Amino acid sequence: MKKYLFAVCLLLVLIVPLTLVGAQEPGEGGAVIEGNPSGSINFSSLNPLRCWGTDCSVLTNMMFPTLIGVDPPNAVLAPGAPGGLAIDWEASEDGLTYTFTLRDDLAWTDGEMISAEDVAFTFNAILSEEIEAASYGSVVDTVDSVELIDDSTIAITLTTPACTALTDIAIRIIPEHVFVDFADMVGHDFDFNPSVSYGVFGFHELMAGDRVTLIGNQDWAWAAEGVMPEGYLYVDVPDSTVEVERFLAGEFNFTSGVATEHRNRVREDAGAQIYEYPANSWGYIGLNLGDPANPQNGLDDDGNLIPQDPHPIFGDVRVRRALQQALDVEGIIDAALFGEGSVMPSFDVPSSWAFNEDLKDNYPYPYDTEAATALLDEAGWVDDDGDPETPRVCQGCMYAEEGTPFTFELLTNEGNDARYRMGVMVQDQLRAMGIEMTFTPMDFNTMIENTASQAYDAYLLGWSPGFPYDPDTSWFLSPEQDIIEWGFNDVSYYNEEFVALQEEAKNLPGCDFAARAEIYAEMQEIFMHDMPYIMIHNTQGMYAAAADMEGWAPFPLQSRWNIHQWVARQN
Amino acid sequence: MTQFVIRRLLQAIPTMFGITLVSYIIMWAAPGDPATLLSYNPKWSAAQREALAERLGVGESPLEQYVRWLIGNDWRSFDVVDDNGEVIGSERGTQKGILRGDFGNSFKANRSAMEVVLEKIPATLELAFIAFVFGLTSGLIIGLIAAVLQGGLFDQFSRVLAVLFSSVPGFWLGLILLLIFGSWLGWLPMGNRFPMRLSGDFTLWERVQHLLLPVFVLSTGGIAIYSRFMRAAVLDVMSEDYVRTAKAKGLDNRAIWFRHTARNALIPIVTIAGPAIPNLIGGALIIEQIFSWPGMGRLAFESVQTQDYPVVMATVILTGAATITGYLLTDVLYAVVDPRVRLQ
Repeated sequence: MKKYLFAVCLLLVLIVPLTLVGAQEPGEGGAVIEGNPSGSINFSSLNPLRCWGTDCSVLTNMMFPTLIGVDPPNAVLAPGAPGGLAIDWEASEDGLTYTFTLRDDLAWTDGEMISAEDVAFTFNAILSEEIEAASYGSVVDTVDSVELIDDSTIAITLTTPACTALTDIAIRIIPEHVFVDFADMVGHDFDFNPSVSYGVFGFHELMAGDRVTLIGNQDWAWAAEGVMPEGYLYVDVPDSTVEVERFLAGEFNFTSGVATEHRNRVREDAGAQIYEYPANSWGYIGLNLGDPANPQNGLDDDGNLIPQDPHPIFGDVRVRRALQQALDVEGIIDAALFGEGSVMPSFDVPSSWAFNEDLKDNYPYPYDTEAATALLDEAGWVDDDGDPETPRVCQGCMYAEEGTPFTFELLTNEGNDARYRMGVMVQDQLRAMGIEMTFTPMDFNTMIENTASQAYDAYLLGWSPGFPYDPDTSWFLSPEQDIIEWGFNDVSYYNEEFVALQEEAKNLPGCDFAARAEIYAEMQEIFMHDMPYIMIHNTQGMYAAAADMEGWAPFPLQSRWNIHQWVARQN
Repeated sequence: MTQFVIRRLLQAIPTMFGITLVSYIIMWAAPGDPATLLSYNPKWSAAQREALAERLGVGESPLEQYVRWLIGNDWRSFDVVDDNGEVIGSERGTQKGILRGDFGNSFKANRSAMEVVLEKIPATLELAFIAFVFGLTSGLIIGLIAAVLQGGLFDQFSRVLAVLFSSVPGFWLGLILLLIFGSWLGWLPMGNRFPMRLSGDFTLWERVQHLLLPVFVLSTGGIAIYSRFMRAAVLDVMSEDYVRTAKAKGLDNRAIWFRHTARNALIPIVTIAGPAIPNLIGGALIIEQIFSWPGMGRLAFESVQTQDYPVVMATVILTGAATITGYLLTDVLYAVVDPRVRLQ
């Protein structure tokens, strides 16, 4: 008996300390260390209103509350969601005024209570235009006025009842009491020393071009059991190869974006935790539908459509479809993206709530060189001499002069290896079809100048819409955005029915998801029928964390939503 | 000597003007514009873009922009207009121009451009100066020994080393060394200036560890050049009469090599070491990219990419001044080390 008791006691003495070692207290979960390949050595600001670029927005998202939080599993704005001040809101009948009820139990890190005054100050600062509100520029056009009702109630009146408005106004809120007035923000110490904040982390140190250090905030309301990590280090690492090597070597324990060419190495790393997801970014070839020799805006000053001469080659929809069918998109994804992507049927990403599943059956137009050849012949672009070295020529084509060779220039930006590989493959595949394409990678500034001027033929680029994702297309496919020098509808796409549906979906009363999804489904069909873009790929994203990172459970586009629960190895 | 220095400094003034004017023209002529780059976001309206362009002053002609950058605009008044375009008042400009020490504000960060640049000086100098000293010292020693042991194994080794260090690209060498010493062996950190610690604490040894690899990679070019120059210079001096005399007098080898030979062989080294000084300020972009070093190289590159004119011009001013200083120092040092040289 004594021996038995002794054995039990010995066992307890051995086991209990082990369990205690495994359990972490808040703030003892080590440091989350992430590499930042987009770090800017000329750091703009840690004030979310003055932050230019993702290097600072990643940090401000963790340091400041937002007006409306995002429900992580569903990726939609929701009352009471983590990080959001709004616990409820009501829309007026005309959909123009939203009255938000805010939490009244939160305090900034200096003890001052967070109130509706802070929200009002934040919005009014942007509306005053005394500061350049960087990534919140849309607030100026979206918000008409802000009315402070009481300490925890605020009414925001919009300029239009657009369904995208809530996304536009879900901005980070700053402490009003830190600043004398709006103009005081410019050049304020707050830019590089935001000592007053309220997020899962608070500011500790900034070394521009090297790293930013944040410390866990144990008062963060949405961390029921406390913020586990002691802190967070965001370390500049300009080279993506080095970033991956440092992650594999254990210097970083988390990465929110692994370059496609390195993903297999990360997968092969026996210990790394990996999360792969369909991202909301996609690649395409934009075809200039307007005549590059005579570019025009989409609308005149009175909002009337300006007639545009069509592009001599791409003005014919049969040619655009032929190009899509001449390209082995799956092969391009496999070779240029190392398989890290999927075919993109239309302008909406497959993970979107508005994605039209039926499209996959028919779009994009399948790879079929015979069908492409037939379309080109039908469109009057023929191989007149049987010589594969010479391009097709116009014989009875719709817009170009007779005898015009089928030649065009494809632009893309330098420094993007994947796009370079894609462009080379596209050139090769089109050459086999008798199409002579000049592939011109160029500096990004130069490319923007070319595409914005609309004096180009085609370009290879991608879109990466914001989060939370909204399928609205007015920002890049509306006639209002067809403006020379800066508009984003630089392909000059216009379809009367498409535009009408676009406005209907954007301003649908009540903004019901299912009803809007139906409209977008119709729009996607029209878009793929008209084909202003050749769809190439939807990007596959990858997050990775060290093997010993506990509590890591990302969602698509929300790699850090539960960072307060992570436990990293001690650093 | 003093007259020489003063004359050279006076000559430097039009040189600097020329450097800044050419740089400004090249920058202005580059495609794109800073306001478009900063506001390349579909959520920005045309009015916001125009306001930004106005704040940045990029809507003016290049000559107006250059003159404003040079002498400022606080000596003139500008109309203040309301939303309808009606003039409601006037206000004076706020810029003083570089001739009065005002380098303008960074377009991106909207704070003093020179402040942005100067913040990077410590990191740049730290890396570049140590690499320069290491490269110079190692190169001179290797070159001297190679000359002393001319024709021997060490001499052959130094020749191969020089070829290797000249031809191997710095980015490749940096990546390989990072892999070997950082990843495979885990002996050295793989980048940045300081250890990754929340507290920010570090020891001297940890700082040295962070410097070892980038300093070595950055110094390889210097080692190659200085070792070959030193070897050739020493062999040249060895054939001089006074060295033969020293040997005939029975002086020991140490006296011959160090007192009579090496010191005189250093004279031509001064002419190639001086121009290395501008690199101390200019930074080394590729090394900084590979080793995540927050130096001037990265800043200059990023500023050019984002067309942040004030920061670009601030770096041009600094590196231009460093270049002129470097060449002036070379001439002065040459006269110092060789009494036969008279500066005119």
